Amino acid sequence: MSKNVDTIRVFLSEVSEEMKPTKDFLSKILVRAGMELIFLGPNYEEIDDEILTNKILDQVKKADCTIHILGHSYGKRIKNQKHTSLSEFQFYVAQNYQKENVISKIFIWYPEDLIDKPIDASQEDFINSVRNNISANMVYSNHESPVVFVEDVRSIMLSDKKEIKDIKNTDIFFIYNELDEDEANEIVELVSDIADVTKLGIVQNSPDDYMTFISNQMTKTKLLVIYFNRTSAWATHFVQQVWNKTGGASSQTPILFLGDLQTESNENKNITIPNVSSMMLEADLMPLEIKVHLDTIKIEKI
Amino acid sequence: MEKKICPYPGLRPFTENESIFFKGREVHIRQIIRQLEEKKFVMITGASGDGKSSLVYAGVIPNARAGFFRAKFNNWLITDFRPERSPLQNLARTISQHLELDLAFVEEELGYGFSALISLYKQSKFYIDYTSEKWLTASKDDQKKMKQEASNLFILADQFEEFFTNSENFSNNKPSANAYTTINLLLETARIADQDDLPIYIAFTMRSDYISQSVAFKGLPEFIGFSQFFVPRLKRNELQQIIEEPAILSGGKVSKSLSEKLINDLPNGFDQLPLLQHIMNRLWKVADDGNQELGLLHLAKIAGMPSKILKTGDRENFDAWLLQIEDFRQVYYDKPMLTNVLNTHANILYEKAFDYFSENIDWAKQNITKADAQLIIKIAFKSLTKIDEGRAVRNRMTLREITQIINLPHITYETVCGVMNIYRLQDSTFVRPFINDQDIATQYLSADDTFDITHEALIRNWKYLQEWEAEEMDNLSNLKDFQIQLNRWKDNNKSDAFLLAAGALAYFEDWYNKSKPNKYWIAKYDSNSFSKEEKLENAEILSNEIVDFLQASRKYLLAIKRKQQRLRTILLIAALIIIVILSGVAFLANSARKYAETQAVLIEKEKKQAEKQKEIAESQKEIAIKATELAEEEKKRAELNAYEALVAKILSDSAKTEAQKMRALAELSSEYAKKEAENAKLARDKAEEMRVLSENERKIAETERERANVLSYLAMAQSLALKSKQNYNDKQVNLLLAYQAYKFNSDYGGSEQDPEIYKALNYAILNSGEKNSIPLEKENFTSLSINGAISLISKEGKFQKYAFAGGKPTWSKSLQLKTPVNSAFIIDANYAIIGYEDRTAYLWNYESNQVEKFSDYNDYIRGAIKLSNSTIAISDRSPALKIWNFEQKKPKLVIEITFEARVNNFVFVPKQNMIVAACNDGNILGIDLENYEKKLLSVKKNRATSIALSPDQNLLAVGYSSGVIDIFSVSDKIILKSTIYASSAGVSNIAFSENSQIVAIATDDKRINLYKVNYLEMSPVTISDHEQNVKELSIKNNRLYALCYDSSLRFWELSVKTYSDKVKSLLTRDLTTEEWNKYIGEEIKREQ
Repeated sequence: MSKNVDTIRVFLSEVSEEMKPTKDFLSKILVRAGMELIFLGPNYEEIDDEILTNKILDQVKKADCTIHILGHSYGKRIKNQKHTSLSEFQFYVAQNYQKENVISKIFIWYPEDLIDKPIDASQEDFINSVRNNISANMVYSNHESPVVFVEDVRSIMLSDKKEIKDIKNTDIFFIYNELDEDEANEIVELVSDIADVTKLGIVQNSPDDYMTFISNQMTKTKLLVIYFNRTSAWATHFVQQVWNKTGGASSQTPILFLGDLQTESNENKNITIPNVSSMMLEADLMPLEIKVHLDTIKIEKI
Repeated sequence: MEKKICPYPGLRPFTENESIFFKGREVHIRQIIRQLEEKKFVMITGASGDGKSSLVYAGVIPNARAGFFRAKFNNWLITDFRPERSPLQNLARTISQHLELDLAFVEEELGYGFSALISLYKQSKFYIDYTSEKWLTASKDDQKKMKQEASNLFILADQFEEFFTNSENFSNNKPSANAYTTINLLLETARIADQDDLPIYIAFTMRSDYISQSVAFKGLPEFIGFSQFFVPRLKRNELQQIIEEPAILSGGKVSKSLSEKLINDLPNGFDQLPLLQHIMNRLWKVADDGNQELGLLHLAKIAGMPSKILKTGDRENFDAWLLQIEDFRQVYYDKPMLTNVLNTHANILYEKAFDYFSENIDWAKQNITKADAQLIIKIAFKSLTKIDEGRAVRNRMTLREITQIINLPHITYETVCGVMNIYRLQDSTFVRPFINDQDIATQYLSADDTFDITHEALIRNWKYLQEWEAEEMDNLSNLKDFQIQLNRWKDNNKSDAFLLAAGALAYFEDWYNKSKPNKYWIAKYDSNSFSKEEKLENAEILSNEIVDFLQASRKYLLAIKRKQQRLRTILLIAALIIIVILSGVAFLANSARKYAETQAVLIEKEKKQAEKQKEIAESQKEIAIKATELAEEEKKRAELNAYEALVAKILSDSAKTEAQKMRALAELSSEYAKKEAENAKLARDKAEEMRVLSENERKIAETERERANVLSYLAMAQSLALKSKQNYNDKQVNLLLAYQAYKFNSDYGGSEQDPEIYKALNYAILNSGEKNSIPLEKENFTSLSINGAISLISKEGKFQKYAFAGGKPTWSKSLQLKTPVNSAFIIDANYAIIGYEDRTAYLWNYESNQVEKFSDYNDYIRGAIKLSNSTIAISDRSPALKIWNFEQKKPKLVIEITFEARVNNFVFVPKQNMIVAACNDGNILGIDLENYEKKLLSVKKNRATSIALSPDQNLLAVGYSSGVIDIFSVSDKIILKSTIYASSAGVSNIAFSENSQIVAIATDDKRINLYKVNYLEMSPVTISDHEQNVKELSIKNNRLYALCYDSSLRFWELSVKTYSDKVKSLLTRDLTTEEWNKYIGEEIKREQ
């Protein structure tokens, strides 16, 4: 679901002494960029280490994302966490929390102007370890400008994909062009007897946002079928765009690209794209072919 | 394992077929499609390397074909073309191909412009008119068939900037007829498609830096304003999609560490995307064609990386790998950075091109060396780029043209093609057309096939090419310098006085020998001719003239040298002769002297002998007398003695005569010796004269040499001034070159106000970030007066005074307005005349803020000046001048002086008590204020638009709509002194400097020329860095101020010296030895 900027809550982690002015500056920019800040709270330095650990986790849980500023000194160490620094520990808490909550994002900022400055050995190890273990939903920025960094944070937090509700699970998602509607309906009717089918006819002049619908439906579909008879020019491009926007070779939902040999020129309309099976068949054979593919998928999943 | 398709195209744009891997631009594709759906037209602009072409080819077009574009029909005809050098023909070709029409027919039809393209489409089988009889009477099946065939028409003019960058399309700021017709067709098609809702969609892609030039095509700016899409810079998450998602689509993977590292290290600004795509393409190959996860280790292998950043394991792997690569590659990894990737790749190909040619090309002669191969690459890439307004840009060229520029007998176009093939391979794709691995025929090109650099990112990131371009820029700059001198020589009937001086000749000969500028190279930079043939013809003429000019200069200098040598030889011989003569004369004189002395001694001796003889004779005479006496005594004895005495006397006389003879001889010898001494003196004088003559000749030769030296330094100053206006990364270089140009010019006696030096210094200052606009409050100013402060009146009736540095007004008064001010004139320290839009006029004492109306006045004031403390003169649109008296505060009309035509401008000349009026019919009239009689001072056909009187009242300058300026001298009469041609545009304003020595002329082509009053025939300093025409011009404290139509107030120093001091203050360093040698030359002694 797309977010509104004033609903973005950011946990801004505490930093070593020399980075405090940078953190204050960044916090002001984040506020002016419309975000709500969550801090560890006052007097955290005086809190008992064990309580502090729980406090960090509580604050991280309240946030949509966490920001960690890296400096060149390692900073205060926490006794009950194998003498890990406060900065490093906050990062690990956020990282562990993220593993269970994929929506949460971690932003690490190591400003470029610090890169060539002398650095504590422990801090260098920490930074190298972060840099070599960046995972999905983690952003590691070196940008010298805090404004650019905050812009990146905001645009990434606001760029979540559109989701359409009321999408149903289906075995087959069958797509065709309105110009081939009659033939498509016949095939869908036959296939419906053996599997659950959701069909979609593409109308050239329609205002509908087909791509968003297709992307969402694909996540709940076992097999996508794209059928064409007299609309090969449309179909070959359509399948490519769908492939492009739904994960391509890495997609969990394979695509069956079916051309009707009723139109002779379709003979040579086969395409070669990873994760797409392309076949030119007589219309009568199509329901069977669709079933074979569906069965194969079901077997593979088992 | 199945080979994965590489989803990153490298330097070239995505093709339509690769749209399946095109990611990161989904939002932008949707926005462009939306604009096209609504407006039928879109101009897609963006910086170079922003992916405009990819956005259309791999985004908009595939989405349209796939049905994600709301249009009338199901199919699409994509008619795309690049303008190149013949836009109309290229458009006709794509239209004929897609609409399946005869090419000749389409070319002819399109040549008529306007709705021709619409007609062709409507008549084709791809369009259905649902109201036509054909449709209405067709059966359902036929209608279905028609629908299946019907297609929307998409016209794409890619690289639209080629309408401006190719001189065949755009020359001297003017489009060619061919280009004009093409644009007319496209815009008219878009207009009709929008009006009649036809399924025709037009898109242009153009670099945004050419937007301003689009005004050259009528209607184009309006269309751009109507529908433009500026390709946005990618956000972080979009960059991440571009990096990670194509690999996923192709079944591969990019590590998050690599993706974050790339995003962090990518350079901002130009070339971000092409560099990224090239890096990804290289990474894919290094990662075993995507079979390994793309990670930091792979990046280290193509861009270098401090190994501490890598994981343990990778670190050792990388260090070992680094040790085993070729030596020439090692150096590229010294400074790890992403821009290394492209540079390193291009360099590797440069090093390997010869081996590739030898091993793979069997259809070209193997008669070249590695050095030849590298020379071919160098010249080919130099040919494929050109300098356009100081920028290196792509320049398409045929193989034949490149071979002609290389101009070596053993190198054929096949050789050039074979050597360049390494840059066309699918792994590199640096130069089009690319080699298709599946089609061996694509390796071999014909002489007329065109090469094109794939992306300008290569020009900006390949260091060799940058060096070659710098060399090219130098060559071009030298050619332009040379042409200036050549033209001067030609304009002066090829007079010897305008031949190259020794220094300049040596410089240009060196340039000529090194760069060998043949006609094909020269033609490349001809921006004045439209056709290729004309370019070559002109280039050949110029090429021959270059040789002629160099030869004539060399011949002339040799002749002078020979003459000097001959003179030197003559002088040497003369000196030798003189020495010999002098020695001879001295010897002779000495001999003569010695002879004379001997003779004198002899004479003395003879004299003494004669005297002795005389004494003897006297004594004998006495004896004779005695004998006579004795004879008298002794007669016979006496007669005998007398006879003996007579004999003795005869003997004595004879001896005396002999002595006299000897004395005469001695006198003769003495005379001869004297004469010889005189001759010797004469010879010495002659020798002295010759020595003086020779000394004078030597001094003349020395002066000539010094003059030649001075001229060469002045030429160098001019050359540096030109160089200083080029675009260097380090702006200090501009400043240093401009300052050095000034130094050479002033040290070697160049003109104090040399226009080029002035421009160079001014440019360097502005280029360094200094501003020449005075910050003012945002007002719509209409009147300017500069005295102790800057006074301005705005259309909104605000009178503001500013300090010379600008900022906030130091004083401000406002009028109570009913209507906006039309014009205002500050006539002295208390009063201003204000004319309103409702044609009323007021006298405003702005100090006391009292306003008096001019009664019964109903016109727009065009000029107003104060004549005395109680009278003012006003001109308006009527053919009259009105003189008003305001002694009683309320202005009263004194007299209305009528003319044949409107008075455009006028001045008061106090010493003649006369008004001089510049009239719209070209007449200049003087009005005597004693009796208001008119006197015609000058007549011209063009409108007299502007007039100004010099502060010393000795000169009057009148400007005309033809760009001509007449300068009149003012004494007891007003007489035309000289006429100058300032511009082809009209003169709008004139101002004299306070010392009356400089006159500034503003013209309607946004230029201001500064002339020295005493040297009007000299080239003026031309100022053109203001963006709008000048409304008011004023000079104060040796500084020129211009109030422009955009209400900006600009200033320029009048003195070059002031600018040079400014430049000096901006310098933070000196020229390095390398810079000195590069821009000035090693042979010139380095100055600090």
